[in-house]
Amino acid sequence: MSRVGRRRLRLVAVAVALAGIFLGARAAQLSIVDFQEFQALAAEGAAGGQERVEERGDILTADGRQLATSLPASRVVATPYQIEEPAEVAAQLEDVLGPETGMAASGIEEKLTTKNGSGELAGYSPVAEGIGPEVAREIETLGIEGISTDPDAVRAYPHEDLASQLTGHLGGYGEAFGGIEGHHDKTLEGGEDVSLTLDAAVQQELESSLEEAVGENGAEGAQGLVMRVDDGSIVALANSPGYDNNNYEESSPEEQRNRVLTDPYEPGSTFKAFTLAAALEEGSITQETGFVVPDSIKVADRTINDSEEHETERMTPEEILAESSNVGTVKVAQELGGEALAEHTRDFGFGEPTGVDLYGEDAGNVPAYRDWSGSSIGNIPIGQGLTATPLQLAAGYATLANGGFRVTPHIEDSAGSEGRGERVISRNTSDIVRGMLQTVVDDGTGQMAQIPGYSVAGKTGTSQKVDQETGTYGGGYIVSFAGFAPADDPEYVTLIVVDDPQESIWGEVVAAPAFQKVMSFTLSYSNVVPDRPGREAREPAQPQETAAAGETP
Amino acid sequence: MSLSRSQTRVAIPREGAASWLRFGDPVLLLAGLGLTAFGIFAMYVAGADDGQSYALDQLVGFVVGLAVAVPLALVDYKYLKRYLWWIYAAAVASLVFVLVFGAAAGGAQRWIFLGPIQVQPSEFVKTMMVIVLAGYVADHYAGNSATFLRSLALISLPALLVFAQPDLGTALVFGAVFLVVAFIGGAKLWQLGALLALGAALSALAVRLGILADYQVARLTAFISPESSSDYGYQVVQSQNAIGSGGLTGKGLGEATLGNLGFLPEDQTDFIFSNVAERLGFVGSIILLVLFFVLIWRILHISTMARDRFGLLLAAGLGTIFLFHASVNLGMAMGIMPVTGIPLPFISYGRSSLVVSVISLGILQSIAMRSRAESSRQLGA
Repeated sequence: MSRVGRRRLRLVAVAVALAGIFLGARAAQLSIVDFQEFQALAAEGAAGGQERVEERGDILTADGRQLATSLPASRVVATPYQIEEPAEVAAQLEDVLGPETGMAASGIEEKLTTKNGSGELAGYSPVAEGIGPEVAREIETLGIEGISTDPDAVRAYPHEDLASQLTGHLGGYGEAFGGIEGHHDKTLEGGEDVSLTLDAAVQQELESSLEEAVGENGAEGAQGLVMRVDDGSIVALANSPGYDNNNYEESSPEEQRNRVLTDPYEPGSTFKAFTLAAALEEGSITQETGFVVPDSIKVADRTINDSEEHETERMTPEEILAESSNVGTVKVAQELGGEALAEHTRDFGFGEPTGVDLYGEDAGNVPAYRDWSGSSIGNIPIGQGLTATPLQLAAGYATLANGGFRVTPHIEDSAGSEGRGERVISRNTSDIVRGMLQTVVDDGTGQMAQIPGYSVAGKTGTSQKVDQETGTYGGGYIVSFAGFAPADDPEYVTLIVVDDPQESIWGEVVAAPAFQKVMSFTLSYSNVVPDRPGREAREPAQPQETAAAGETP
Repeated sequence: MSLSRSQTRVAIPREGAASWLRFGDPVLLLAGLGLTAFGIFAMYVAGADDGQSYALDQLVGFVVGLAVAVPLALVDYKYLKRYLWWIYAAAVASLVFVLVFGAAAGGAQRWIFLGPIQVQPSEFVKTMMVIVLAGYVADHYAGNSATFLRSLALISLPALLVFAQPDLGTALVFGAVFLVVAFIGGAKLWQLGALLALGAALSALAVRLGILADYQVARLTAFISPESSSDYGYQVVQSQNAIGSGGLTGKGLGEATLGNLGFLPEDQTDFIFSNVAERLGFVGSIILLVLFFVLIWRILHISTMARDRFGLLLAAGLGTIFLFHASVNLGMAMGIMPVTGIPLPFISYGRSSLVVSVISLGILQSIAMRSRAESSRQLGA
């Protein structure tokens, strides 16, 4: 007989003893050490999560509107085995419940005859939830055996589809999904309200403008946001199409996503402002540096074109930006050098999450300098071959606008939170770029963004859609406009991104009108003093005429 | 824990008692009866309105198990060795049958219907495979690489068939049984180490290639961060809430609990422990744990007493099944092991599982009786 076997058996016995001790200790930890904590949790759970809903805090906009609130309600519960005549009872209930819930007798009867695991009539079957107090009283007065009502509570979203992705949703069992409901679940659960920096009026304007842009351009969707340039507080943030959180189940996951922070895209020409800012900051160019700009340039194995043919001309950086010349921007970048551009791109916050107080933020994709190919210097400066979320781009524009400080976008209005971060470009650089971006709107490719009474700065952008699955260009374009106002002393940055427009791919036609509407509403609504009183906006010329040197398509 | 000391003070048969009572292991018998009673009681209280029918089902399972276990206990377990290959063929055939004709339930094909009775063959195959493996390794030295590989191949076939159902938890039981039987059977440590490394590599590959279904991976990893909102994480959180909120003495039998309000998932099967612990508290948990570990201790004790290699390995293998099931199931309920969905022997609702557990105890009694009878003979009694 095996000696080895018996000796080894003893080792197995030791392992068994350890397993036993370990399990016993864990049981003790759960039921004795952590007992109090679990008892509280279980009490909440045993109340069906309803107390949590009933006492859950509201989500409020800066102007005090309820984006989410909890209302008292009742739940109708059946004890199927006590119900003698299910068909009759169902008909009675239909009379009362039908108008509010749209339930039919057949559906009710099904719930009254629910079976348990062994095929007998069950002891518990919820019939309807979220029933108003009056209907609940009516059911009580019917006095049907086997039917009762329990106190319940419902989470309501009074403004329906306003800021739906941003608000998030509270589902069954009191589980929060996405948005503020998700990110501030603990606070809300504790009964405290969460106040946002969001302004309902601006939000409304943004949503209707996005909807209009989608409709007019036959686009797939649109995203946009309005943010304060000084501290990154978000005044409006929307994804179109939206959905109604009261009918959450009917919306698709695509609609529920807050694409402003989850979906990176190639920023295209809107990125050129950062290339110029970097070159100015490094001193590789000055405002006066002249560039000889042909209408195409060869970089490694690729040829970069301006969007329209033109004679070789001499351009200042300001003209390069105003006319959105690809070739000119690449020449500026060659002057700066790829490594410095890559470094400044990171400094502006691209390639890392902004740190917004919402879940699901994407970092975008910015290739490290060591991963650049020979042709990278031909596409990265003009916003291709790297991706950013709309939120990152808006935060970058806030930096250009506010004198050079990084901002951390945020939506919760918590006093004392410092949204302004470190300085990444000098005030001087910021001033120069602000001026250049103002010229874009005054005289260049952004004239549709002009607002009577205010100076406006901004930039158009168009890029090919990147297929998120394959990482290659699919069909379709993303057209955007990023800008801020008043240009001399900026208050707000606004970004409009239109996804796959069918009518046109020109940023000035597709995205600038929505920008103009939202920004002009925001400025007058928040009583920003007009800095160009008396000056009317120029009658917008046809974009094809103004795009002399050509915009990036 | 003394396993072999009692070999020297073995029970001298007393006059008058029936021979099987004299030589059987009374502690094992009591532990088994205690666990069965606990299980029936658990069904009664956890089943809420339907408790009575659940409890009755379990009682039927116990009686059926007993009807097979008693004859098995009285017959010399060595006879099993003669039918090794028949047992193996039957085991594999039943699993193939399930895959081809089995009734799908809960996303997996695990059951077959024999007339009105629903049977889960994989429960029986576990015990059958312990017999086959113990029989094979008993006659061969597991340290020999050819033997090691042959016995590995022997158990891999049914394990893969079970995995294909798909029932990952039960497939892992086969792995544990093999490790223990091969270890005690004299396998070299490097052989076992290589096997574990290979297993780890294959698992990584299975995840990478998507052979493991998403729900399996989600279940296995849910316990690491249960707060993330997956359904399995929810199970783990609710299970711990239930156990923890039971406190020292529990909420009582008739009280509103997370279990009867439907917060506990699978509250009569996989998560029965959480349900019981919520009502009976730490005291109830510890009684259950003690019953289990007394059972496993006695099985290992019987293993050391066995008169031959087959008995030794057979007992150790059967003990492994109980140990693995109890540790993984309890660990899962308490949030320290992955959710693998394997039942708690004697306690979880399921007649197949109970019948097999009782039969295993019958075989173990047979080993105990022969070894003591033999020891007594050697002592000249």
